[in-house]
Amino acid sequence: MKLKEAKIYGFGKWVDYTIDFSNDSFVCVYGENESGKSTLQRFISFVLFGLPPKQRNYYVPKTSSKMGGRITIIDAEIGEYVVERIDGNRNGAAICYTQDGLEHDENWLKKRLNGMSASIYESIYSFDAADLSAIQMMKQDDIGEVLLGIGLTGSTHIHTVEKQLDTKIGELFKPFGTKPKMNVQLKQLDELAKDIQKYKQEESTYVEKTEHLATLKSEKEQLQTTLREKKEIILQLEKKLQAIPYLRELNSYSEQIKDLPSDRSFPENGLSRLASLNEKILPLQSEMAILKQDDEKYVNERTQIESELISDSDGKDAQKLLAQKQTFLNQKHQLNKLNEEIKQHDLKIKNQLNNINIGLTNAQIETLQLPFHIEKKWNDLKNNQVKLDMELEQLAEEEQEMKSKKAYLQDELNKCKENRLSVKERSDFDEKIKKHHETAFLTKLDQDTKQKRGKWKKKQVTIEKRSQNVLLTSFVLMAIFLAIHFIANTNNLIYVAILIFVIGIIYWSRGKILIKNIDELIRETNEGLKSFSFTDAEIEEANYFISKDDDLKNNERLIIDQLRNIDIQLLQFHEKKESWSYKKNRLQEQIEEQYQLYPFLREVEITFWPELFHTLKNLLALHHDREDRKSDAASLTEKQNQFSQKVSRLINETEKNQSTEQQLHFLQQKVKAMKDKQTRLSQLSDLLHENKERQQHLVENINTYQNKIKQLYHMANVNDEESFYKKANDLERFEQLQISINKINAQFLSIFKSEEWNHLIHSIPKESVLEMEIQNNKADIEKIENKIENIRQQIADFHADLLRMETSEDYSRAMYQFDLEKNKLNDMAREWAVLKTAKETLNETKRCYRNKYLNRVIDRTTVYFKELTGGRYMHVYIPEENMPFLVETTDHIRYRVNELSQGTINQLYVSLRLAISEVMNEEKHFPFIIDDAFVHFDSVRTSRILKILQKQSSRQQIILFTCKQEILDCFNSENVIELKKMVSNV
Amino acid sequence: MTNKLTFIHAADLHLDSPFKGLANIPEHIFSDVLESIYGALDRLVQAAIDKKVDFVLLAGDLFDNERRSLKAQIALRNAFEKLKDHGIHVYLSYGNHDNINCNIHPVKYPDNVYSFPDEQVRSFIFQKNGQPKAAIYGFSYENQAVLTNKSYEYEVGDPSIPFHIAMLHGSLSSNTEHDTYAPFQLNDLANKKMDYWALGHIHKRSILKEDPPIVYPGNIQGRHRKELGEKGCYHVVLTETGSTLTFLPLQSIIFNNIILDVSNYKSVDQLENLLKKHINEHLKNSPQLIDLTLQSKEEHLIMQNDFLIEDLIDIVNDHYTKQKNWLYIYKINIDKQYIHNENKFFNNDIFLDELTKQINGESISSQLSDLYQHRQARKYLEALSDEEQEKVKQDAYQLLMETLLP
Repeated sequence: MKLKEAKIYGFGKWVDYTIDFSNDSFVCVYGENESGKSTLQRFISFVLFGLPPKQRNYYVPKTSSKMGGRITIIDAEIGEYVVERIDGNRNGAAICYTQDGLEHDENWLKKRLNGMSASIYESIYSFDAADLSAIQMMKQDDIGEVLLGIGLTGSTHIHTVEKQLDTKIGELFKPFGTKPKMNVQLKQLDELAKDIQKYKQEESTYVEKTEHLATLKSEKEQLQTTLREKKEIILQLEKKLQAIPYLRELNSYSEQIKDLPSDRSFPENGLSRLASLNEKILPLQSEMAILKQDDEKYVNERTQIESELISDSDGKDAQKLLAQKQTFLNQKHQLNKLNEEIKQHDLKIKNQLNNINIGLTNAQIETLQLPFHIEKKWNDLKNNQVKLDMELEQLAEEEQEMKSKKAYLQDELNKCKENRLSVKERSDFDEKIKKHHETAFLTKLDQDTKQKRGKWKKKQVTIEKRSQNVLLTSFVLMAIFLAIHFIANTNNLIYVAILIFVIGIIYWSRGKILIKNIDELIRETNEGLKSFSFTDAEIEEANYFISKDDDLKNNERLIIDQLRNIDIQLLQFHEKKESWSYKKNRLQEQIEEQYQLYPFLREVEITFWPELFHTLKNLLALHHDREDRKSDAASLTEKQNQFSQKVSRLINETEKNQSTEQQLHFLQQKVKAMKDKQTRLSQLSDLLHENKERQQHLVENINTYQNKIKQLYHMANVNDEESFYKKANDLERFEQLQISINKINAQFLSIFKSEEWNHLIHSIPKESVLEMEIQNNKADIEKIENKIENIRQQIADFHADLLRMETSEDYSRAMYQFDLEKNKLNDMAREWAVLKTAKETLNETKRCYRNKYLNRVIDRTTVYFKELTGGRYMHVYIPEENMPFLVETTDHIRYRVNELSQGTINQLYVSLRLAISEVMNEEKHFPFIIDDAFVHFDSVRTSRILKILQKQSSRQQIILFTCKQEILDCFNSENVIELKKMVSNV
Repeated sequence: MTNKLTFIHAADLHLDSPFKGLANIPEHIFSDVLESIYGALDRLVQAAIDKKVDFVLLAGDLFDNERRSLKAQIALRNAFEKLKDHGIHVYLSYGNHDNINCNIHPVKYPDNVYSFPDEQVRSFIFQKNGQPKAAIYGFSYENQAVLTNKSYEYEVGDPSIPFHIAMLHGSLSSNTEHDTYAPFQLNDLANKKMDYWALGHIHKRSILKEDPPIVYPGNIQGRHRKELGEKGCYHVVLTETGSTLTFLPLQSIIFNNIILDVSNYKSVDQLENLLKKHINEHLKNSPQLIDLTLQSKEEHLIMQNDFLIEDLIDIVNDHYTKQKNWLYIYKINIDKQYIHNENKFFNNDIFLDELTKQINGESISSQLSDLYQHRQARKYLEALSDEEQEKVKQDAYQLLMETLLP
């Protein structure tokens, strides 16, 4: 394999540069320092093997953006092909173009390059002065190894790997170390194992401890039993000790019982029975005493009341009076009522008097007498008066009317006279007419008269009737009054009767006169009639004038008639008036007469007399009433006074001033007191009787109880109460003692057995002995208790310990921890095993490798070395075990490599490299690149090595980079590529 | 209904037995691990109480004798006492791990516990309401091993008793994976007219035969990466006509293995997401201890940097250990499959060729004797099996390749 041409697009300082290696297989690239030789070598490496991105960045040209290039390679098998690699294209992967026009990828290239990598390539097929000088820097002992390393893989890598492996192995484990990880781990495991052993040991004591615990528990039980026994003993002793005073007491009680009398007959519950009997008698006796006292009291009282009753004699009278009391009171009441009525009457009379106000006094009333006719009389007077007044008024009216009518008519008459025809005229006309109308007129007049006559006739009848009536009435009245006069024997009435009769006559006579007048009138009117006749015109004219004049004349006549009528009427009127005056006078006389009789009437208008009469009549009635009552009252008062006197006789002097009612009240009290005393007296005799009976009963009861008491005495063999009680006391004492004895016995028999107790009673133990025994036992107990406490503590400890063991996770945890650590150790051991295996394998491989290849390498090395040293050294030996390279001079002296001069070492190194590349690459002959490796060589050696290289180049292409002129001089010019010149070309 | 029998069948409690493969775990997880078996025991008791079973069968290996702690014994005693409070009997036999002669610190159990006293097959009669209800047959290991076929000694006693149950701690004679104790043939058991065979010794749960049921309940708590998944006991209901078996998980912590192909996950973020996604899909009702294997056919950045993976695992562990049902990756394996793929590129390298030859050569045990025969270390180290040695070789080769190849 040869490099034919390198075309740089851009790489470091190289841009668009081409180098042609095709001239020869042994090429010298000359360039001074900084001319880009190393960059060129990197370029070749880059194109063939690629570079990591970081390193690629380093070679990006500063003047061009394109980084990369292509190399044309001549391959022995497939001929020429081009490898192109451009940074940025396919992530720096190469692309290859073969002559058949195919493109191939990186893998294809790798195959063509036999899987060679840049580092391997550099370690085998290229070296420079630095490699050589590195040898010099190394420790001398290492040189052999380093040289071997070169030979084995073409680098020092195996050695590094070995060292790394060794270090790692050493870090993990050293058989006698302490610090490596596994040694530490082992130590830890040992400790954990110890712990586990300890825990295990401890746990193994569990059963033992459990058993021990059981033993302790039973021991404790035993001790506790003993303790209880001991305590029981002490208790017994203490009981005995406590019993000693009681035992002594018992003895003294027994002595006392002996001293008491032996007779103990006594009724059952004697004392209480006696007491209860006494209790029963006592109230009876006291009741007896009370009864006796009462008896005495009643007798005294009775005597006293009896004496009091005897001295009191007025009692019966008083009783009688009291019986009349109600009558008295009624009368009194009546009296009051009457007085009240009298007062009321007085008041009424007075009021009425005041009302009529006619100066009539109360005294006058008393004397006033109103005969029964007076009322009638007053009434008539009143009526007459009224009538007269009315007539008077009527008369006045009539008069007035007539006068005014007369005046009017007079006036009319005058008017007519003025308008009338003269007498002649008139007479003419009259003549004419007169005759004409005479008849008609007269007829008519006749008719009128007839009518008038009828009227008068009627009136005549009426008047006649009325006067007859008046006359009749006056007769009757006169008769009545006369009758009354005769019956009542009053003088006045006869006058009245006469008067009435007279009035009746007068009235009747007047009526007669009127009737005569009327008769005359009727006759007057009954006169004869005449008749006349004239022509119509005349008549008519005459009629007209005559009618006119007639009218006037008629009027005149009418008026005259009327005037005449009025005059008549006036006459009548005067008559009437005279009549009225008469009547008036007559009436006045009568009135005067009344005035004489009843002067007070002057004060009263006649019209009110009837009313006055009634009032007066009432007054009189009231007056009479009052008088009656007054007389009643007087008789009652008399009766009262009589009664009061009777009463006051029976009353004490002091009470005499009181009213009769009160006096009566006193009397009543007196009587009541007397009655009370009588009642009390009968009560007392009842009480006394009852008292006697009860006393009798009590005496019987008391006797019964006393008999019973005597029975009790008899039963107790005693005679009196004193000795009974003494015996009772003795008995009580005996019983008390017996009870005390029994109490003590009972108290202690519950504590001691009966024999034991009997024994104690008979022989009382000594206190000091008992106390001694107790002390001894107590001491024993204290010891036992201490023991128990000790055991209890032990048990508690064991319990705690066992519980701790049961709940402890120490052992379990420690075992797991131990497992974990053991696992770790095994993991590390495995890691160690891998490392160790790797290392051993590496060593073994090295050994085999040496055996296989190294001899051949050394043979070739010897050849090259001999040639380089001009035959001075004739043999090179493979380093053995701990020995480095050995070289043998022609005089068979062997030197170690570190004994050689620097130059010789360099020569040996170059020889070795050449030999290795030759041996390792029997198939593929990669170009050999040497970068000024021979700076330390002298010119002879330089020329020698160049010769060797020249020879070598027939097998493989050799590219020698140099900056040395003398080396350059050794080459033919066509084999030289001068970089400087080319750079300038660019 | 009168002839119905219910019980719980468990075995191989291995109280306080070690957890293998756990090295660096946080304190609280360590505590959980420590208590896990007791948690499982509590659940066993609670299940018996909840299901109101007639009795509980424990078919051997309640403890590991060499590390029988007082705590374990007390815990068991307390569990028995709790069962006693609920009137539940316990029939137990001792197995190879807790054989009678090696039990140096026996703790007294309450009187509801019936344990087979020796290697003679004997029977207890279970009475219910004064009537014999079941005969329970079994034996205990007196020493560390019983090598004879004990199945011949089982014979049904009083045939008037409704149910006959046999307890046997041992394995099929064909099973060579484990120590073969009290070996038996399946047919031997099936022909014994027992209503139920309560087996123990094999930690993997399996029903060898349905009729009559011949059952390994497995252990109740996994202890290492080979005792995977849910662990527990069987709740058995026997009637005259048949049997119903229900598995009740009891474990406190589940062991789980996860293998992930990460060839295409080239950044830490991607890998983290993949890992979390996978874990989230596999979260369970119990805490989990995870043995994680990352496989890659590609050499990428993550594969080149072990510490990146370690950091990632730390992050993931941090994330999941805070949960109640925590999850913790206790072991991480990185399988760099690409290394073998790339070997061919180095065929030019004579040294590496030689190295490959070497690694496939001799046994490495002699090389490791420094450590494995070390006076102090050998006490704690487990000898590497051939398999493990091979793995070590591979790892060493992988290591060399990685370090030697620049």
